[in-house]
Amino acid sequence: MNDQGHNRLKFGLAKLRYKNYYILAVVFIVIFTFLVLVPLIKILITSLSFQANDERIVRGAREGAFTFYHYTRVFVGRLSRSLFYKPLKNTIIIGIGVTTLSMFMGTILAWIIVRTNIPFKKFLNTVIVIPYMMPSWVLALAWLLVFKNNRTGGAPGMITDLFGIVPPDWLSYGIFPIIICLGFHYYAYSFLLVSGALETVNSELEEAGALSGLDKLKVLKKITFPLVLPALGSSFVLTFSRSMGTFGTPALLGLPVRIFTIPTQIYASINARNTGDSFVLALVLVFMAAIAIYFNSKIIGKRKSYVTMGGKGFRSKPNNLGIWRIPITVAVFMFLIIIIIIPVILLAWNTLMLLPDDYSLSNLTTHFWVGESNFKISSGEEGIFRNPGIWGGVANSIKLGISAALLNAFLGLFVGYAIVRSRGTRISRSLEALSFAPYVFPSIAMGAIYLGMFARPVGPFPALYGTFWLLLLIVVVKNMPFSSRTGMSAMLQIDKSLEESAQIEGMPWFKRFWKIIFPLSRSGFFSGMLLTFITSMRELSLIILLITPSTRVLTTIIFGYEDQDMVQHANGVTLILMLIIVSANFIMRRFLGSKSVIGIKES
Amino acid sequence: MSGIKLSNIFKSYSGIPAVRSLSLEVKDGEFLTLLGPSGCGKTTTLRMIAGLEDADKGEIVVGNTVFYSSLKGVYIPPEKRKLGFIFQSYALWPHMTVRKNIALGLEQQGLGREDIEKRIEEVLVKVQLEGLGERYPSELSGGQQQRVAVARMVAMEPEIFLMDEPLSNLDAMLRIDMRTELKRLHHELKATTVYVTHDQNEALTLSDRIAVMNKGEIKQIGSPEEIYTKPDDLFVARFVGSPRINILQGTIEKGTVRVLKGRFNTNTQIKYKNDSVFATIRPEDVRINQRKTEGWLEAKVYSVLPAGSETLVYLKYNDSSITVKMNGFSSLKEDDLVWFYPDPAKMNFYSTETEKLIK
Repeated sequence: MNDQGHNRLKFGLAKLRYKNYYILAVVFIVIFTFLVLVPLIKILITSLSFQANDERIVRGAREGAFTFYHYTRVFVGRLSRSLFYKPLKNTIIIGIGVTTLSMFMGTILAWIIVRTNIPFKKFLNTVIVIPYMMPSWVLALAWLLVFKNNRTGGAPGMITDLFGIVPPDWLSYGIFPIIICLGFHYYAYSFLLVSGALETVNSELEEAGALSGLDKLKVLKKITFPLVLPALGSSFVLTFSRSMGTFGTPALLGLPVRIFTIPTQIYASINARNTGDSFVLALVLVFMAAIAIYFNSKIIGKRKSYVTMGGKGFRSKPNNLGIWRIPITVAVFMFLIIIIIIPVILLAWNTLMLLPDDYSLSNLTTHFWVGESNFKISSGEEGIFRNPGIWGGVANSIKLGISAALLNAFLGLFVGYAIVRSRGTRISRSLEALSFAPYVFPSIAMGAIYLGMFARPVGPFPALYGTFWLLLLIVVVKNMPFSSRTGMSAMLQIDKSLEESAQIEGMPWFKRFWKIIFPLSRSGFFSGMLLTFITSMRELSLIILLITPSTRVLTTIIFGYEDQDMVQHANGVTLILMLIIVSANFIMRRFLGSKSVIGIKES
Repeated sequence: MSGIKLSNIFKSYSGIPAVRSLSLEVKDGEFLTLLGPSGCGKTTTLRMIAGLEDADKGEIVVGNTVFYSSLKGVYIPPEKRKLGFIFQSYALWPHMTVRKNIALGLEQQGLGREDIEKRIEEVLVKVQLEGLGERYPSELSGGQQQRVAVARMVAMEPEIFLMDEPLSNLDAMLRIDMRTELKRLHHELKATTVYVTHDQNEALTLSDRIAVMNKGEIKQIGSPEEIYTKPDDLFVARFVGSPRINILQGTIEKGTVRVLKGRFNTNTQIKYKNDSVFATIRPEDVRINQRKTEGWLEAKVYSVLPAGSETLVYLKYNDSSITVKMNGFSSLKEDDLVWFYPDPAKMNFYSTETEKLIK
């Protein structure tokens, strides 16, 4: 190297040394490439080659050899109908059904709560998003307690027991109940997005419409609706892509009658050791999610052009419901009772019933909570409170939740800092894209990818399969899009000059971060933490493929009990899980004063 | 003893040049203002001195220390430059009290508790904020926040003050008061100061010297008086002075310049290769009379704008409009006929090609 070149390099390094955000950004890019891009490439390669298992089935197949075998099998082969096309059809029908139902509910509720004179607004605003904090399959469990028929063995549901009517198959299992249960979970997306948009619609815009002679319905149609249209578009894409990738509910309500969606088919293929097939299906889900995100970004891009909120004279005047005020209030409360209170009561009641189909008082028991092992009941499984397996699950879940929350909140802050500070460079753009990439992976697909990648030692990592660290890793990576967004928005709110003034006064980077940036982004930090805690506590699809007996968490314990038809245990553990989530939320809000966490942040 | 020397600074943002071949010397203890329209590169220049931006090329020397040199490969980060900087937004840390805001940098310097307390009290007195040390920035008015920013900088006792439009967020009255304070502060502390503003009035009021910038280049550098009375080119002439300077089309006939379609002979002799020039005259240098006066030109009043201490009168003469500044109030009304006289002794003449000063 010549002298001048040497000098320039030294100069560049000297400058770089004090621009920690570049260093941070590059470190993160390397890490995320390894954790996000490499796995994706790996499953692409795996899906294009033979696995050990294929050697027995396909003549001449050698492990690792290149082949389109899995693709032809999934897309055009003899089994393609049951492997791909039927699950795809079901997935799409469910997606459309769930989206329609949840958008309908969410939008109406948003309008009622934001724009009318309904009472208890604040209370309703908090309560209405509770289902969203819970695992999406809680309603499915409750559904089974009521509508299950005798087709799949085990005790039938309440309808059969109490009224002697056997519900038809379509009501007990399958697409219809899946749509209902998911719809009443995912409406929170539309509710949050649309109420957010409605809150920014200035009443004066509507009044101006009224003054130019439009009647109420026309105002709604011509003015309000177009203004919230982008939010509706976003909630459509978001709900559709989420319901498409979900595993729990379709597994509980679909698998018993062999109705598959793509996520449950991936699960089935993995269990049948057809890794190649499952990876092809996972890629299909990734592809579909990528399309959804593309449309979403188009919609959000357009939304920016709506300046509905002027700095001055902003007023929001509620619409008077008139004589409908009381009936509508009652209806909203009824809705909340049906989707929140009744399921909880049903689950709780069920755990107190010795025989799951006997509703007499004499059948009530505390056995499933405190009972000692009794081989006549639930294959001798001990009551929940004395069950070491369950307590182990509680500990694992909380350990996972807290460590993921801490890691995500800190990493999110640093990633956000690196992205925002190096803005305008290619490094910044790459990091932003990479940190958002896990969003594209449907949870179950990502689980499948990590299963394939970390079953053996890779690079610096030992074989992580079967350890807690793999669960933590995948949860942290999967939550990265949200926490890095939270970090970014926190950083964007902190004017650059606040750090620069500290720099001018001689503070080194670490001290600036600790004294200035961290305290100023604290509220985003804590709400990000709570959000990650909740999502990892209720996570099932992501980790179901990675769980081993020693790393069981509450959600997989519940799923296991349900699978073995130990309904009371499943429901009891579900209640414990819900209790943990609600108290975490309560404690966080109480002591840290963090603002509502379940916000539009997720979008 | 710290002067500042910038040599041959280049800076561009994604290919678009922001500062071009800028060289500038600020003498020790001098108050120098970088004046120019938004986007002219003045803030970028200031931030490069502080190290908050890196120049692409060039050298920055403060005192005897090279802060930055692309040629020698020297880079000192902002945290080691020991400068004072006041941000346009003040950049007070919202989660700390006034006292803590001032203390943080002093702690970093390794000062003892007692020294820090003493210094905080001193600077709070200096900026007239005694007793407000326990307040948070959000509990202060804009003017008080501005004073905290000054106090925080002064407490560090830097030899160089850099200020980025520090008064632009204050209302008009407060701004004038703060000018007085800043000028006094500079007089007392004698720190070398580089001050950035787009407000020509502020620049004229405060500075020892002004560097007028446009499109990343320094157009003229000189004392306020030089900048105001002898602008080097039409850009500076237009940018400095309010109301705006009158620019008249002129022709050279028989060696002397005539303006206003040849009807007014300035009797100024100019040798120039073209026969057309621009003549400029400040509104206060145009005299006006309601009676017909020999050698003066007749015009119609277009608009009258009284402002208390002065009245601006806009005249229409054929196609040209001329701005006149009169003292006090005036009885003139729209469409009145008046006679005016642009004093040739106060005129400057510029090339029509390069817009540079000829005479």
